[in-house]
Amino acid sequence: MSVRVRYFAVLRERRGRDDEPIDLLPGETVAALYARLFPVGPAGRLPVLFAANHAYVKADHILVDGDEVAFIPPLGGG
Amino acid sequence: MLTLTDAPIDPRAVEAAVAWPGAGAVLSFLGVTRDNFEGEAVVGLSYEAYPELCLPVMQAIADEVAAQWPGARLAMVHRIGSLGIGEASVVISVATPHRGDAYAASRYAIDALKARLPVWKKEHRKDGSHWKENAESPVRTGEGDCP
Repeated sequence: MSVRVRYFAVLRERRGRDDEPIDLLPGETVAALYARLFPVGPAGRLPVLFAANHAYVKADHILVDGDEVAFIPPLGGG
Repeated sequence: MLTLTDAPIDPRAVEAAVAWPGAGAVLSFLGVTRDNFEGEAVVGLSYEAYPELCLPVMQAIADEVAAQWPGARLAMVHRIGSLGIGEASVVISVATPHRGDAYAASRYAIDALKARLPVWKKEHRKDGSHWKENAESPVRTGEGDCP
């Protein structure tokens, strides 16, 4: 069971890549995956929105095999 | 016309996309890159987007405008990539039967864009580059710059 995770803006820079496949843990939520990939540092964890399959989802959204996942940093459009 | 582009935006083309015979008002908003942030010189900006999520968000905003203001049509184009100072980063055009609705719908659309569109802006200043966050973003560091 794996998902494709896409990274943008500050998270793309921190991760050093645009996207990668990640193996899921059973029943893993999108927020749990974020916490696993971006452990809390001295400055705390960047607050993000969550997206799955090109739609915003809530933090407790449970991921399934084949999902495209994205963590959405603070928005700066306009 | 709801799209992202890495080329300069032609506002007349965005207006043409919303024009229709029942429109008594066509109003365009241009968001333009500014040469300073709180007095510090900005030498350039770059925008990055999540295109596959931008398009459904833009469509939702257009649908909301059409539902809230009868006869309203909306077009929205956001620039991505590197921009110089004074260039349009976003152009929003609305056409409505009457002008009051055009002002209201235009304001609604830009506020919704700033709060929902997955786009990020990096400001390049002499002291370095910084990701900027909108006051309207539902998630914020509160710092203005992302750490």
